[in-house]
Amino acid sequence: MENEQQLIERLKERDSQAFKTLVEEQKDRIYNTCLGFLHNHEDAEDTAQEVFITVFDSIDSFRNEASLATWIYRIAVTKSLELIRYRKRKKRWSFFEAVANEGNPDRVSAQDMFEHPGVALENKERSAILFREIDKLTENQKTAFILHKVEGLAYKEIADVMETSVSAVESLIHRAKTSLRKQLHKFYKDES
Amino acid sequence: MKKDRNIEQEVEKTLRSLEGIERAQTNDFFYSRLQKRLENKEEGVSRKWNPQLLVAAAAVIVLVLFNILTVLEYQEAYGDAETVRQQNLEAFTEDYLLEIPTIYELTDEE
Repeated sequence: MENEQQLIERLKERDSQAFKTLVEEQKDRIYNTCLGFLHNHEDAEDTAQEVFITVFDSIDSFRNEASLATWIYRIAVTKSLELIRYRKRKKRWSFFEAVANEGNPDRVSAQDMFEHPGVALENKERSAILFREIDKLTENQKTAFILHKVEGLAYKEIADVMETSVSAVESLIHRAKTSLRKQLHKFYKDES
Repeated sequence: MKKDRNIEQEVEKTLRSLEGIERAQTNDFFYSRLQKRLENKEEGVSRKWNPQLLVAAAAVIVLVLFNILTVLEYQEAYGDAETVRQQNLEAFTEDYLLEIPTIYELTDEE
C-alpha cells in the first residue's frame, strides 16, 4: 500500500493507474457528500465526477497544506454549493420553464422528499422531512451538519475541510440543530 | 399540552433520523463514465477549431467586410456629390459675378 505522498507524486505525473486508485478510494465518500447536499442521484454523480476532473486538472496546485482527502472534500462541498446556487437562480425562472415544459415534472419539487439510500427503512419518512429542512439552513451550517451527520466526519476533519477552527464547527452544528428544531416544530405544528 | 409533547417527540425523532445512516454508494460504471468524460474533454480541447466554429468565424468576417465596404462606398458617393455641388456654386458665382471680396482684397484696394 503506497503512502499518500507517493500517490500525489504519481498523480502529478498523470499516471492513470494512480488516478484510478484515487477514484476507487474516494468515490463513495465524495458521491455521498454531494448527495447530502443535492438530494438527487444524477446531480450527485455528475458533481462527484466534476470533482475528480478538477482533481485531475489541478493536482499540480495541491500544496500538501491539508490531506488529499480533505482537499477533495473541499472541492466537493464547493461544487455542490455552486450547483445549489445555480439551481436557485434557475428556480426564479421556473414559472416560465413550467409554461414551456408543460406536463414535465419539476425536478426541484421532485427533490422535496428526498430519501437517502443509506437511511434505515423506519426512518425514511422523517429523514426526508429533515433533509428538506436542512436545505433551509445557511451554507456554513448546512455544510457542517451534512459533513457530520451524513458523511460522519469528526469536528476536526470538518474544520480542515471548511478551513476554520474546531470551536467554530461546534458552534455551527449547535446553531444548525437549534434552527432545525425550530423549523421542525413549526412544520409539525402546522401539520397537526 | 399532550399535543405539544407529541410535537416535541416528533421533532426529536426526526432530528435523530440520520443516526446510523450508511454511506451511499456509486454505481459500478462510475469510473468508466468518468474516464469517458475526461476523454471527451481532451478531445474537446484538441478540436477547438472545429468546422462549425470556422464557418461561424468566416461568416462574421464576411459581415464585417461587407459593412466596411458599405461605409466606404457611402463616403465616396457623398464626397462626389459634395464636389459637384461646390463646382456648381463656383460656376454660378462666376456667371453672375457674385464674387464677394475678402477683407484682405478690400484693404489692398485702399
